[in-house]
Amino acid sequence: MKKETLRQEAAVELGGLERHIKNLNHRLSRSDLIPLLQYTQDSYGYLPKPALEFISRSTRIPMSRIFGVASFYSQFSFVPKGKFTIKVCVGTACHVRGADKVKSRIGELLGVKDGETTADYRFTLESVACLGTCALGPIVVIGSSKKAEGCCGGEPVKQALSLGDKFYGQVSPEKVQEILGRYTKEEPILSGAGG
Amino acid sequence: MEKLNSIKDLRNLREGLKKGQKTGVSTVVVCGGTGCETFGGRELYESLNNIIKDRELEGKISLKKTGCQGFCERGPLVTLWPTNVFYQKVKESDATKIIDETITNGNVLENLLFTDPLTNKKVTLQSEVPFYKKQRRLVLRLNGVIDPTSIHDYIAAGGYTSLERVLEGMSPEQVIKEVADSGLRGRGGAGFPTGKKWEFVRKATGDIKYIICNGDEGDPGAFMDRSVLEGNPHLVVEGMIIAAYAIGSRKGYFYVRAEYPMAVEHVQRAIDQASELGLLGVDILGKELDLVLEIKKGAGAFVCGEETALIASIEGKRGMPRIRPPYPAISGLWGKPTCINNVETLANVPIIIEKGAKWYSSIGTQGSKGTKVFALAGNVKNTGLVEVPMGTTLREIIFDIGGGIAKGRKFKAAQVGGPSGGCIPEEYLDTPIDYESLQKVGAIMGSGGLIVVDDKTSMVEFARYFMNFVQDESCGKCVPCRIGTRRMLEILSRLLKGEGKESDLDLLMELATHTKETSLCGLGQTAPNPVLSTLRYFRHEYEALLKKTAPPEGTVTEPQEKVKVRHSESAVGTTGTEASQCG
Repeated sequence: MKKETLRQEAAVELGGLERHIKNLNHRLSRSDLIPLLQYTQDSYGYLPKPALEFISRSTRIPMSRIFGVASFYSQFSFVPKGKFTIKVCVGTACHVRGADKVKSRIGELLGVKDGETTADYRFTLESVACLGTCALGPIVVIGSSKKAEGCCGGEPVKQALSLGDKFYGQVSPEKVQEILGRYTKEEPILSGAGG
Repeated sequence: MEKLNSIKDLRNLREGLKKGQKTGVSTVVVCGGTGCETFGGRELYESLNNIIKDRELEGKISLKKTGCQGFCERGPLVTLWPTNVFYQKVKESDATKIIDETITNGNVLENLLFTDPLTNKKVTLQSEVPFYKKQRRLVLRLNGVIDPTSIHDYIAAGGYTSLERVLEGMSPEQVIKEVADSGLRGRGGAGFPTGKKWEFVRKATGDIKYIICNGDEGDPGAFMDRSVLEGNPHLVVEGMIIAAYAIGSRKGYFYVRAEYPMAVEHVQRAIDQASELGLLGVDILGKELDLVLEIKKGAGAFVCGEETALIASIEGKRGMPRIRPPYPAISGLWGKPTCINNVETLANVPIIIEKGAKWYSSIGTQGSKGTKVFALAGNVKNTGLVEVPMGTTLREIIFDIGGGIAKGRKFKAAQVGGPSGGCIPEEYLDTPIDYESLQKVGAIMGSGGLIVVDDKTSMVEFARYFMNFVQDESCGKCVPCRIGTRRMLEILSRLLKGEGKESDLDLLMELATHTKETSLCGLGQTAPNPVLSTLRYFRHEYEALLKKTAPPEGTVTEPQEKVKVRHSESAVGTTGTEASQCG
């Protein structure tokens, strides 16, 4: 399934994770692992090695097992993602309405393949299996992650857009450029529904 | 909210709520399902709210947001009560007119009405829209009627009366018998009789037993469980309490896909409200019944819809299935007897208790009782959620309810059951749908995804699409599934590139049969279905590719290296994100 491996890297801030574990207020067991990984993925935008080591120490689950679990589920990533994650739904309903063409067009414009991140860490392109909004396919969802390391030449990007996911429905390849354009400017996006 | 200590308390609360309901007040009902919500419904709701406040009409007009009403294609949807006027594709800018024109002056806005594609006539009332008219909504009955974030709304609409009935005078055995007599079968795909499953768990030895609601709706193209969880979570909670009572469980889990942030939020809210009212927790309604419910969010793995894989995932392991027996009913979560039911199955339980097994079993066919919700999507005019009695034909669903094929094209096949299902050609459109008949034509009920494809779709490419999905989602534990799906994908890709060999079709058939017969779990056992069914009904398309004649017009995409199909990641605890605020 996944070919990514853990990155060797400098220390990351673990205070939040530590507090989160403390707030759980119960003795950690094995079934806490996935929720903890979900929290970590959400906080950092990926799973940094030091955070996993911290979870390992807290739960007494060996790193090998944690790696096994984290690499199994598609929700987790070992590498940082771009500031904006573009998810193209390739579920069946979107597929029969031409999702592949939409995805290729996005990849072409950004110069990345499925699963890759642009060099400036602005965009990550991903396929998702189904978002359950089949009636309005093809669907593209652009989400901004809370942390995007090294985005845009190391300069912290003004958080102009609200965090969270924006849905675009019935997207055609022709509409892609205009949609992406909204995320390459620094101005806040005011409107945005539809596509 | 005050805790309810007895059944009488609950009844008093319901009576009070009913009395408190304003009569004669016009209500504007806005659909708050993910589809409508994300495509302008939220803004529409806000502006309706502002206008009502501006005009100081709060006493005269009430505004309500419901769960998914099902007709997603035409969203955002607005229904007006009590007139039942139905508006579709409503924009934020239409808000003023709806209030001033329709509600205040009683004029219907023609441009927002639905046009029946068959007759080209405008339809004013919701009940007259063909999409709704031909359905029989039991599970979805309150979707579009109640506010899913309010337990009071559910109770006032008659919610939790089935629980009352159970606690008042039914023994667990009687509950099981009622469910067994109703003929309810698992709606997750396999169709195992629910009453029988409950009986197994009831009889299993052990003092700790678990109940799990399987909301890991992983089939691409299926969204009925999501809509039920989003639109009427209390119905599922009530079903779960009744199930827990029947099997003797005190702890239950909701396993919900993380890709469904709104469903997670609404279920969490439902659990919190029910706990606050004393419908969950210790000594429920003063009776000897305890139940604690907890949500476990899935982490993105299709195979976790399989029950033993789902259990492994809750236990914090890689979601890999194991050999059965022992079945979870005997040894499930942490080795304890466990009952796993699908969302829709549990949602049917309160209905069965309320109306009785006899009534319920009068709906449907000989072997399949009740209704089934289908997620109708693809190249069809009216996409959305469709609930019909078992035994309805595909033609009725696709042409009468779905309005036929979009863009004036021709019907080619209906894909039922997602990656585990099969493609059904035109000649079988009149087959009444139930568990058995679908199996006979090479598909399965699955969870109820129904994708319609038109004549420009290449069926070989369609089969390759599904194979690509399952080979990526195969957990890799057993060889037939891991290698078999991969090899089948390679052959299909080869065929599509025009590099197929004469022997490929036989090889494909052989691989498909072996994978089906020897895989460990349902994923592998059903993975070859799309290939087998297309080989059966559309063999000429495979042969055409072999002859290197031009592939069927249209959708043959570039055969790709390996498309990494990944589930959404954004949803990881989307607290604070826009998507989760839309409740």
